[in-house]
Amino acid sequence: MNRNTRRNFIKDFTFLSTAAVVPTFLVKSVQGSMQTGMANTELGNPNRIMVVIEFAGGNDGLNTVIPYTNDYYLSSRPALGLGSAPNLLTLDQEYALHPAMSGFKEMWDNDLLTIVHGVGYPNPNRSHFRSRDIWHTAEPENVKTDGWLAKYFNSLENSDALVGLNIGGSVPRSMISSEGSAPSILNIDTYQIQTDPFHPDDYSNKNAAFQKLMEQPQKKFSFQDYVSETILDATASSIALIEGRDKYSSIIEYPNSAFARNMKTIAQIIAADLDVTVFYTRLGGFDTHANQVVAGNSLQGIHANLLEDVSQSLKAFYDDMVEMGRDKDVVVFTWSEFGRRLHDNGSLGTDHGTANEMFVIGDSSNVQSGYAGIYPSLAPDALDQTGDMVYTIDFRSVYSHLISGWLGADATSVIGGDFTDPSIDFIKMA
Amino acid sequence: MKITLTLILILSTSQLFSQISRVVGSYPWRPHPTKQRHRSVEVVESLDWGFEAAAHFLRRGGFSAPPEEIGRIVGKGFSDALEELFKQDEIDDSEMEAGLAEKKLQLIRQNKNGRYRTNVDALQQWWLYRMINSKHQLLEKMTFFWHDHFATSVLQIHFVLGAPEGDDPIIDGETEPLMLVQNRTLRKYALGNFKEMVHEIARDPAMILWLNNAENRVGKPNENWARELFELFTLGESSETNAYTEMDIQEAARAFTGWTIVPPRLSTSNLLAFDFRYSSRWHDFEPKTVLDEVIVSAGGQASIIDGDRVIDLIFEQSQTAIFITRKLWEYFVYPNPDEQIIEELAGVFRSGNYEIPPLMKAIFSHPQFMSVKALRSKIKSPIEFAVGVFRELGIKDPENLSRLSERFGLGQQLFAPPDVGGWTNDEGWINTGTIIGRYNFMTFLSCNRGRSFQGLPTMNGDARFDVICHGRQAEDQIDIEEIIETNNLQSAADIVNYFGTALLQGSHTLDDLYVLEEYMNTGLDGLPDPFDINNPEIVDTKVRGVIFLLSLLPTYQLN
Repeated sequence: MNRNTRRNFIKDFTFLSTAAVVPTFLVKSVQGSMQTGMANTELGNPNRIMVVIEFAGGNDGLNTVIPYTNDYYLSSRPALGLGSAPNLLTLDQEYALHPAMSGFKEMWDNDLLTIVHGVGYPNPNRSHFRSRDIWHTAEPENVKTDGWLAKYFNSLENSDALVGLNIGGSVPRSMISSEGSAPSILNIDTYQIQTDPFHPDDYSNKNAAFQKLMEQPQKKFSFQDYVSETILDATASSIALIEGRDKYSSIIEYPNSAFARNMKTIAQIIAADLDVTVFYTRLGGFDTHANQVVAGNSLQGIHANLLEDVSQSLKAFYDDMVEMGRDKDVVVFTWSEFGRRLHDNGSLGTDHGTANEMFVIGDSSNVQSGYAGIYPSLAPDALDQTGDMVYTIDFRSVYSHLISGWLGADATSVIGGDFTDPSIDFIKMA
Repeated sequence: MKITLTLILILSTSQLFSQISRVVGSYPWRPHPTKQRHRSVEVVESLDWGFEAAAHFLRRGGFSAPPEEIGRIVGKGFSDALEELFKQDEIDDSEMEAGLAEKKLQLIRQNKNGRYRTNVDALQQWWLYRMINSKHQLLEKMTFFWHDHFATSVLQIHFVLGAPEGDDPIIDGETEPLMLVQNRTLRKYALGNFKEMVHEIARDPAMILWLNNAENRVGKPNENWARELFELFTLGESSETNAYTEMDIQEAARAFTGWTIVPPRLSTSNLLAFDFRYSSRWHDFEPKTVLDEVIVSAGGQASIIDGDRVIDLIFEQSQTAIFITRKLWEYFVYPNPDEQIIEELAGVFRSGNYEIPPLMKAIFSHPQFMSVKALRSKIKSPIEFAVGVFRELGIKDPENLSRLSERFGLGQQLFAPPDVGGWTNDEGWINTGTIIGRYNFMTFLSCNRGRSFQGLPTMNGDARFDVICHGRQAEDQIDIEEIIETNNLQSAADIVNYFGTALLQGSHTLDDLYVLEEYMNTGLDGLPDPFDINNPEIVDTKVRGVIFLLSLLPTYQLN
């Protein structure tokens, strides 16, 4: 966020005095900021929202989009194979979705779902942390630290604090750069600073003191500015959310999970019309080295539970967008730091692998549903030296396509190269 | 056997030389975005010894301290203080141990199926009490560092280490949560020998379960433990250093087959057991090639040595000392150090055969530690932030503190790192959500009068304030009256000066204090009204207000 804009916000900031009554001067200042600070396309486009979902731990793509008739798949997974599982959600003669993903199947049937096959990068790294950083920074070769989404935000003129927003406890590296990092929120209702409720009569004195303290020149320590700027971003974003949160009303029932609650928070913030362009949230638990399925019942287990949560929560979210009339403004995509091995291990699980699929969800007027890319071959001579699939689509091509096709920005400067891939063109240009 | 060993030794020594030439710097999986590493060591300005310097010393070597303790250390001088830091084990800590025992924490509970499980809250309180009250501050700080390093989570590893079957399976001292067993191991070696620590952690039941090594057996290898041993616990991720390969991991996994636990006895409903057990039946006896050495297995139970040999081979690599030294420096001094400093200190670590105290002493004695550059150069983790403020304001036993981090979204729960990579560092702790969380935490702390917040205008009737403040003991409140009396505080200036010093420990400015004095001399109607120490309501409002406002300063988040 622009430093001058931040300092303007701090003047309007006040501690929360009471949930019931919002002091009038605060209302005016929020309205003021809504008009001046949050204007349109230079900051990002509220009609082109992107929601990024991270499956943390390495989702087992082979058991998500299942090549259920493929002999290599069937023979490599004696314990975990879902080839003959009942209730497979078949998409066609070759592929099926995991039975837990009925929400996704519904979206597929309604032309709302795109499956990008075989996404990865050269010289795949099987360390969670390194591979995640590779995806976050779009840099497989060199160790870099600026996130790709942060670079996108920095490329916007007068980039506002709320162009990008993380829903969760820690900001992903995708949204961090040396110029700053995106705000992060867990829960709209508690995203405000509370002071001593025993002495509400002292609030304005505390406010005045706080503002003066923030204006004092401070000693120059390394992270001083980083902390100050975060404080100012926090006050600015909490002001913006105070009024905006009442704009959400919905009949859609979300599942009872933390992930679903995060998706609902995103829906609420979209309803608040704050011009957030990119949302990010993550679901963990995908590192299924053991007990990926339940012994004797491969339809149950950790993986099935995760996929069910994903499917139900994202379906509810999309239904909510339709309900709010924002479904044509939103594209959702999912990624994971790698897939898992073709062969299962001895612990009813799978170890770290390579290529994986990405899902894209969006209205058919914006996104071409169906398959994109090529499913990697599972034949033994097509695998790499450790027995893993070889990627067919570089993830940077997908990123680039989303940036240029959906967000309308220059992908080359954000991703650091031209990764246009003619087979990745699922965004229908307006 | 001897000939083979000699050959192995020759091979690995030559390995060592080629390793040294390949090392250009380890890959910290969370590199700091601020600076590129450079090769020459810059000359830094040293800190003048005094209050601010002593506070820096105590924040790094422990969990911060109240003003009296800082004053005591100032009086000692740096050299004596440093010596005392490494002789803390000679200081009597029985008061803390007695206080802890008196709390009668029930670390074990039964779930609805009658299984014995860890009482996570109680376990967290157990350690927090030590962090706040122990005189062995460096030991607790190092244990905390190693807990992050060998990150294991009680949320999955909630099992209990067993006792014999019988009517009362919970036997004091014999029945313990696995995560407590791990914590004891970490504490035992925290200021001991790192190589021995790794050998012990490889046998730790919590770690074995956590990284699925309990199932790692011949024909069905599970790589999880082997991978993290190399990547996270010793050599560091290898894409820049090439210290090891994917094959090394796979082969090492085979070397650790059979390193498992005693399976739960299903005949009892208590399911207590989980001690380390080596199963040669599950071991893969075929030779393994790890780090260019062929490990030929001994027979039977003696084959356990295959896994130990992998660890020994890891310690023959120079990269291990570099990775660990770098991590310690970044935690205790500042991020992004010069290569040369790390190489020099890694040499100390190696020549000391991986003894931790000589390395730590070298770090604390290094001119860059007590330097202007190192001062306030890190961001407090949530635990450092919370434990710090308790120690600074004399709060000895905050109940429910374990839940505070979760309730205020600070982002760190003891014994529960998010994954095996441990917690983040520095800027990773601070985002708009967590800073709001820290501020609300300070509101709770400064407003905790032992009375309920129910009915008061809090955020949507936020239960976080409510539950915590119900009928709390004096031990978890700031004793404002006592502080005023003991320190003979009489005026607004006195109060602002005392708390400014206690919290900001010399890193504040006079302007900050002036703003706060003005706040104290402003009445509840907003008009000037000189602070009156004899007006209990004003004292209650304003003193708590000052504590809260001081914590809002960005500097307060810096370690």
